[in-house]
Amino acid sequence: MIIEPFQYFSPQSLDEAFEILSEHHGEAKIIAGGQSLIPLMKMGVEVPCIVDIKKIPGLKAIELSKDGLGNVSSIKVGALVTYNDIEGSNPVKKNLPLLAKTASGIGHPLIRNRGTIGGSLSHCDPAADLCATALALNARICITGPGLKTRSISADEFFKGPLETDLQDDEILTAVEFPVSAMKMGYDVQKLTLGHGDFPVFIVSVSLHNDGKKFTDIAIALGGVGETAVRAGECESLLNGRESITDEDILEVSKMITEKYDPPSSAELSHDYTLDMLAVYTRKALINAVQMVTG
Amino acid sequence: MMEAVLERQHAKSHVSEPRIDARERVMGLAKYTADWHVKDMLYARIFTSTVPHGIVKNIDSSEAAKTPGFVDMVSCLEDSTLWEAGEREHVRRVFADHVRFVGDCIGAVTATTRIAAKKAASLVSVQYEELPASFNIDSTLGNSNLKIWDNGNTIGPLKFEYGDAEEEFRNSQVVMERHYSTSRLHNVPLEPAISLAWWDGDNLTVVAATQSVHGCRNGIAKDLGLLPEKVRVIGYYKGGGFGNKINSMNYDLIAAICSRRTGKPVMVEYSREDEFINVHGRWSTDQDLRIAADRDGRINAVEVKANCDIGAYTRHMKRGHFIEGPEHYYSTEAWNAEIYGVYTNTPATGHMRAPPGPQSAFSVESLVDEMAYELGMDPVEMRFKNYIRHPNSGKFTSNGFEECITRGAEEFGWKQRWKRPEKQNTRRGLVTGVGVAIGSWHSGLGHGEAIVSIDSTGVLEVNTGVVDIGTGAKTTMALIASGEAGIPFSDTRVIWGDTETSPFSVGESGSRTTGFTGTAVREAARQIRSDLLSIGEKVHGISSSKLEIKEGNLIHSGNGNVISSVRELMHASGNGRITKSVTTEPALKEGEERFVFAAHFAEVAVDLETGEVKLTDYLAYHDSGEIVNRLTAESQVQGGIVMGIGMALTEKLLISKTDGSIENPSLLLYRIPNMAQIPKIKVFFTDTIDPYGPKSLGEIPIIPVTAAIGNAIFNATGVRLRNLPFSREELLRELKGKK
Ligand SMILES: Cc1cc2nc3c(=O)[nH]c(=O)nc-3n(C[C@H](O)[C@H](O)[C@H](O)COP(=O)(O)OP(=O)(O)OC[C@H]3O[C@@H](n4cnc5c(N)ncnc54)[C@H](O)[C@@H]3O)c2cc1C
Repeated sequence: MIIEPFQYFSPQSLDEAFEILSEHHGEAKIIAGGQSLIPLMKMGVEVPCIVDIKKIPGLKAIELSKDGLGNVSSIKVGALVTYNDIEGSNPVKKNLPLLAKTASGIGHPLIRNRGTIGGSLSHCDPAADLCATALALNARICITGPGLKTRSISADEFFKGPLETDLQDDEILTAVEFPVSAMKMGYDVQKLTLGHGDFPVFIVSVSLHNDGKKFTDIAIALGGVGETAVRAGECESLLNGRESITDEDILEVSKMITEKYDPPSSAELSHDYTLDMLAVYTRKALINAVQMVTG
Repeated sequence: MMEAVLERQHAKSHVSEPRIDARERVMGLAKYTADWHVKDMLYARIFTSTVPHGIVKNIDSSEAAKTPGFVDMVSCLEDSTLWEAGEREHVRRVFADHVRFVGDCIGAVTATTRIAAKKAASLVSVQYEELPASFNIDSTLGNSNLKIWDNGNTIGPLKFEYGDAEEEFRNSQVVMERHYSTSRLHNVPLEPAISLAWWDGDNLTVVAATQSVHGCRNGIAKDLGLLPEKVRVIGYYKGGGFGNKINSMNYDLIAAICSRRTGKPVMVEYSREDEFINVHGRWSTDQDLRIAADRDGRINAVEVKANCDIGAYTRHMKRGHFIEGPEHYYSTEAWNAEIYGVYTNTPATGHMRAPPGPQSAFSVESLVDEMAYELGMDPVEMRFKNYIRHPNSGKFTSNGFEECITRGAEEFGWKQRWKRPEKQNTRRGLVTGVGVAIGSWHSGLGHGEAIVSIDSTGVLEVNTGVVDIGTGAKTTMALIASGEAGIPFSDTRVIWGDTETSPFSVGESGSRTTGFTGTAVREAARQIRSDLLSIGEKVHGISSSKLEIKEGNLIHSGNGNVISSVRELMHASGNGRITKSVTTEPALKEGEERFVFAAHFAEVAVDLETGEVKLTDYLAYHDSGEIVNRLTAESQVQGGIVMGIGMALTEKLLISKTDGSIENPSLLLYRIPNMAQIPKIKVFFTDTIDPYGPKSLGEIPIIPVTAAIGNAIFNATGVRLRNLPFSREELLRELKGKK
């Protein structure tokens, strides 16, 4: 039950949305899928005014950009694209399989029908699935502000802290852009949850390329182990540029991860266990990713 | 009358009808209590104790009263109504002045809207004189200053024994001793507690989410000092209860009290959090078991010593029976049980699907498994050797246990799938294993009432006091009547769920509806058929002994020809509606015992690196006598097993160590299993015919589940888990320890 009354607006354009946001400055919250905002309001967080952006055209598209040779060079996913849409999009499955796989593993079907990429990244839960994968895939966040002024920043700069981003009160996240590489790629996402479909305790999202000679662009993104999702840079450099990656290398990296990062414990899972699991899940993700390119 | 029932030797039923109210439920047309809107209706919200144990000294409602929409407040300071069904051993008030757990109900605020009621209730401030409190069994047993109840903080011991256990333990070749524990659980019905009440002079009407309209009426009448006929309880549609909507509930009384004070209809509605805290769940157990066997696998004796955390109040009716059941699984020389209920300053406990059944089966069925492996025996063989053939004295009315075990093992492919556990050499990947557990449960006989009639158009009407809490009872009653009277199911109507219009029924608890009320329905329908045959004789001049009623037609039994439809017959007779009102009181003969039996088989896959357990296959084989409706019977079994899966793998009420409050009163944190965790569950029934008709079914399916899964985990890994729910962390620790 939401106890406090609130105003509800459903603007038809970005312009109109910014008008409402400025009129209710500091009091208004954007609502997309509502899968985080509504639960918060039910828990008693007061939101005097909600601005529903679902009627604004143009925020639901998945757009491909191509390079001079006609190869896909990047994909722009509109803020309102749901997890389900991502999971079902052929261009995403083909060019950004890690994104598709991540989306398909979020929560339950009901959540995936409504939750949006824009909402997930703006909400910025440190353990959210898409936050980790956005980092692993070097996503750029496209933002529009009053006067339709646009800017774009890297996911890394965008995530500021738990439930805190670089978005200003009067800005809207409009899309997320992912670079696409033509190189052979390997990827995996692994997470520890308390139960099937529950929010991750932590998540490991891995992406890597292989140009036929060596491994490049190793990305190991972790969620749930700190204030925001993070990239395990030192561990990545250990593997970057290698001609081969062995089980021993992976074990070493997994161990290193547990020395640098600290997953949370809970009434049900002790710290010893979650730390052990961080190594296990990192190893699983890396092994799967490496196997994809080495066959 | 009984002779008629005893004569029945129906072949195994292949009837499989969807519930008659399936459409309205799925389409949202079914009117649940929360869907009722009565003119001028007000909303009440309870406010509860913030301390685990204390005496209420003062209540300040001045802030609450300022809330727009506030109408009234009632509390323990002015209302001392007792709730008899709320605590079986002591006196419990609807509004506690002596609060015994965080969440104990102190009073209620009535307001014009749900939101105003919730807001106002949150603003009531209560002062307490705090008392020493205990949040677990050990601290209750070890604290002499503690007075949860004046006459002691425990119930018991309940002793159950036969044979000379000590002698058996002395003389048996192998003795094992183990400790097991189970956790506090919650029933988690989809529909949280709710009640709507209004008064018309001194007549009270309650629209209740109850498992029994008559039980509810009688309880309310008693507690409010009314004659039962002054109270009408309506209960048409329910979202489940699994035992926690049994009899009259405190929220029914609160709705009635608030309505009497305000002169308006009042709805009391619990949130999911209220439901977790204020409505009882399952008690936890701490059990020490001993088993004595011979090398050939013969079990000679079992000893059970247990303490059970029953919270601040126990709603369990049978005094002290907190561990019960396994004494009827096996034929042993001796059995010795000593059980205590231990009060703690935590929320109440009481009925939840086979109240003591699964806790008791878990320990005994795990221990028997441990003994089988100790003796190097196949666990199915061990069960087969020892399963109960006859009760200690007398005989079972029917016993399909053997079929459950042997046919179940065959259907599951046990012989091919079961392997002796090997030492795990690998450290990674998945390992699989299979487990078996058996169980039995009582199947009583008792008072049933029904009114069955046939009108001039040939439509059969069945009127019983069932509420259909989710069991499909309406459909079952209609099927019994239609089958017995010879009228098509599609021409059968049901009247139910209202004390004003329907005769008494025990309601849906204790697996009793089909047996108790169904017996009366069957007899009434038989009388209808017999009347129709007499009418046939009169109208057509053919001896009734040569007539039959089938599928709504009068038939010549000699040549099978249709003589007329029942509709034409009713018309030709010139009779109006024929009504049969029947009360049945079947009773077992001296020395007879009536039980249901089951054998369950599970397969799990365990991730050796993470300790995660995935249930990959499940098969249940049940003897519940004649099955009236396969579809709903199968659903009952699957539903019980799903609850058992929760108990085994995911569910646990987390009780705070500092104030005994529930730390996870939400579906986010208290995890019932979801579809992804549930394999396809195969259900089989034996062909057993019981002379007294269909046996019980609703409760037994949950009983063997936890042990079947635990035994499969052992078979997969060699690790024996003895605490519920099974913890992947504990499993992993043990796996590592073994290497
Ligand atoms: C039962 C359950 C299970 C879940 N399990 C998971 C899980 O396993 N993994 C996981 O990652 N998540 C999970 N979630 C959270 C889910 O992913 C949310 O959908 C997501 O966090 C928010 O997306 P949304 O579109 O619903 O956003 P909303 O709830 O509508 O908004 C969330 C926040 O983002 C802001 N916002 C939304 N869109 C924009 C925009 N375009 N521009 C600026 N600000 C915006 C809102 O103002 C709000 O503060 C779960 C949620 C539930 C209820």
